[in-house]
Amino acid sequence: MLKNILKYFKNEILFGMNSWNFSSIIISLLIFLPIYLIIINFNIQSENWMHIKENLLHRYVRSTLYLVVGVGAISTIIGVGCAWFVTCYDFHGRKVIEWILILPMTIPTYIAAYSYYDVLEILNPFFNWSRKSLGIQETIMIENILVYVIVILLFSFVLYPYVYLSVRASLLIQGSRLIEAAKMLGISTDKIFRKVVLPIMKPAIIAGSSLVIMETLNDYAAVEYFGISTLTIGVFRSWFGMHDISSALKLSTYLIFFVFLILVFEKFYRKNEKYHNIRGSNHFLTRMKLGKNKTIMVLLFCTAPFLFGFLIPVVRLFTWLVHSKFHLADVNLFLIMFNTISIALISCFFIVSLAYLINFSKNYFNNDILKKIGQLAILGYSMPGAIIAIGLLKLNSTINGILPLVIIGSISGLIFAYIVRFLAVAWQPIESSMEKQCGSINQASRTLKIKAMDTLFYINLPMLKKPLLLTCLIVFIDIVKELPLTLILRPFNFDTLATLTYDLINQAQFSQSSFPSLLIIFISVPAIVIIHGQINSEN
Amino acid sequence: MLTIQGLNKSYGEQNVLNDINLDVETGEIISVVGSSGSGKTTLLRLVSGLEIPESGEIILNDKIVNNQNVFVAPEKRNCSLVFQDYALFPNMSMSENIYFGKDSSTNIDRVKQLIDITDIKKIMEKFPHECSGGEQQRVALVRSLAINPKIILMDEPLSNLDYDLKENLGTVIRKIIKKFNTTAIIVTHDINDAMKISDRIVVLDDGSIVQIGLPNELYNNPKSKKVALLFGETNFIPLSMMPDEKNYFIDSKTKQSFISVRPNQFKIFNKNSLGSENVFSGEIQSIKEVASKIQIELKCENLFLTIFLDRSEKLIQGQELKVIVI
Repeated sequence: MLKNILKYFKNEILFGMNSWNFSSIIISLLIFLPIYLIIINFNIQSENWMHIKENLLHRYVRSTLYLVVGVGAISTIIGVGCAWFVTCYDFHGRKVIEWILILPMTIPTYIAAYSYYDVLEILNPFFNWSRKSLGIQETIMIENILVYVIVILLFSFVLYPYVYLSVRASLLIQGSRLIEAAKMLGISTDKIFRKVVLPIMKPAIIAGSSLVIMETLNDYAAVEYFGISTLTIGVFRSWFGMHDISSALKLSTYLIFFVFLILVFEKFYRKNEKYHNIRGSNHFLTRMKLGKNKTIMVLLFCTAPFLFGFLIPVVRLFTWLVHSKFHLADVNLFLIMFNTISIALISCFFIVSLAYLINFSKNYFNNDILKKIGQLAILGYSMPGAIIAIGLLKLNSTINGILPLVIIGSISGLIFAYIVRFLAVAWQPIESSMEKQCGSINQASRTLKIKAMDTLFYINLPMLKKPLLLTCLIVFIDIVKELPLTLILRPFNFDTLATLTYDLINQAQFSQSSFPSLLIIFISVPAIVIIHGQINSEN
Repeated sequence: MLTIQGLNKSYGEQNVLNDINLDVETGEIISVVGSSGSGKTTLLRLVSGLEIPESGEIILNDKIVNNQNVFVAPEKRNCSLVFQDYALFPNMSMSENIYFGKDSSTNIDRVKQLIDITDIKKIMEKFPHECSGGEQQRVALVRSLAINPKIILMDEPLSNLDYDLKENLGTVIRKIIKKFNTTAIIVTHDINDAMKISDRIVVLDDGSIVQIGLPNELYNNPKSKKVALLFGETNFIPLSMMPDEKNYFIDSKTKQSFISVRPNQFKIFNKNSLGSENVFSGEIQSIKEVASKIQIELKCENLFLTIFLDRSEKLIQGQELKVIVI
């Protein structure tokens, strides 16, 4: 056993190592460093920890669990239901619904929350009645439950597209032949859904809902606005409120524990995915017809998420915008737009370039150690932004003693944070495109004695132009929408559209906040439509 | 030219190649045949340097390219690999594909000759997606030979082609490799391709070499049932029924000795037949017409023989027949 391990390392290090692999490994480890620092500092001493542990921790964990379970379940129901109806049934307006269902993806959770900021006010007559009839304690309890219900529904209405897209793609690729075979056997539609579709879609459902849960864990502004104390809120409070990095680190490890549970669960199901691959089944499914009554029910089911997750927030923001007469006091919106777009573009360039370079080394030189260490570099995406920020704060304090390097409050620090968080977003599409298109091409170029650099620029780059541009778009949108990381790590007086929205809401300037909110949404809409169109054509 | 000694390769727990030993002479064309998963492609990848073996030694042109302490990267081995999917660069024209390899542009005369022999001049400005499978295969071959490799490795070069193209390209491959005195290892699962193109054939089974020899040698004197069946239909006749035959093998399962006799190695026994050894008589069980031959099934004691005879023979089912092995 030990002999085999030694032989493995000897082969990979002595024979398989070169400057490409070595530098890719170093970059991957650097990107993993902030997360590593959190994990190893779990036992660090903290004066506030006892107080947090005794009085707050259970509340943080409980709130996080409620949200994760609630949002995970409801967005899965919406996502799977919508994917099943638009993929397998034919009804009036199906094609339009297929498209509008992805639009809520353009709305960050915090903007959705702000656009429903007064939803509790509508219920005031009920609360007044409840206080008189049921008592104050009971009303507070009902209010608390209602807050959870509202936040869970809100999150579900904007996050379900992750499940919808993943299940729909899987249905198109794998489901069609099985569904047709089941139909030929005279199985009822209801039974096909329960016994055929749900079991084969399990890995896709798990993959989509894992992303939903990670986005839920990442949220800071929306839960803060509705007064729900999640672990992410705890991390922020420890740092911003108490300047206690040790407690923030400890709370972050709890969050990491949540994330690891999800990752392990997802990996377990993804492992089984190969058993569900039906070869040669990627032909168009003949869609089933629906009766009049059922069509109305399906239309209601599929338009509701769009209505609550996109249309109502956008219309409300527009109304506020008109109400504010486009007036933004003391704010240089052009500068903020410039900041947002330029930092998103620069970060996007670094993220996509690094993902491309590391994946090229991996694919071209086929080094196993790089393949394994590369997986560490993409862990950042599953971590909430607050964790990465705390990891970077720790990194900053660690290296400040050795080098005069400033990470926190600098543009370069913020870009590094975006790299840590969003490398995976670029990594996955680049990795799969490279494996699909460049595998044997890269090996051929090695045996033809073509230099790696020439293969990188003259063969791989032109071949992967399209996936690389699409990846840039995805990363760009994610950075434009990002809030928690930017909030903690941005330089003094540096605002993005996301932080401006947050600041204006904090100052109760709802009308004024509509303009940056709408800008974030309308920057994302065309990009999402292009990406979806591309994915659709590939499927 | 190429010496492989004690080569072993595994993926995790699964052994893919076990103790491979092989010597290839300069200018020789070797075909490696075997069923799917027998380790053929892995062997090519190890020789080219795209994979690292667990143990063993590879010597290329008197230089160790791989052993316990040495590993020469693929780009430094001077051995090119033609992939099953051709692996042509899709963003480059055929001409650019050929001249993109290192040293290709300095071997202009050689490249011109290669282009002439393979008859690809008219497609030089086209892109891979505009050409047929046969044309792409020719370009991939020229591209690999243009860098003047010491050895060319080909992974299933004819498997994606139609029958007509296969025939033609098989001849071209042999002609071109012989003309430039290049050494070649060709992996194929089609024994007919291997018989036509190669000087020697290596049979791999379950990661081990089970037989090496000239194509006819393997066809006539297989060393196992598996090797015999690789070359098509055959009869396994116990040695006790042909005691004077020298080319027999011992079946590893039953430990019995057998002789492989092909269906076309039989002739109807008559007065003019020389000798009376290796004569089998029995009742015809079935008669089938197969192209220009008839296939009969003959029951001789406990043995069922499959025999191909000329269509001119007038035979009927149930008839007693005497045949002799030629």
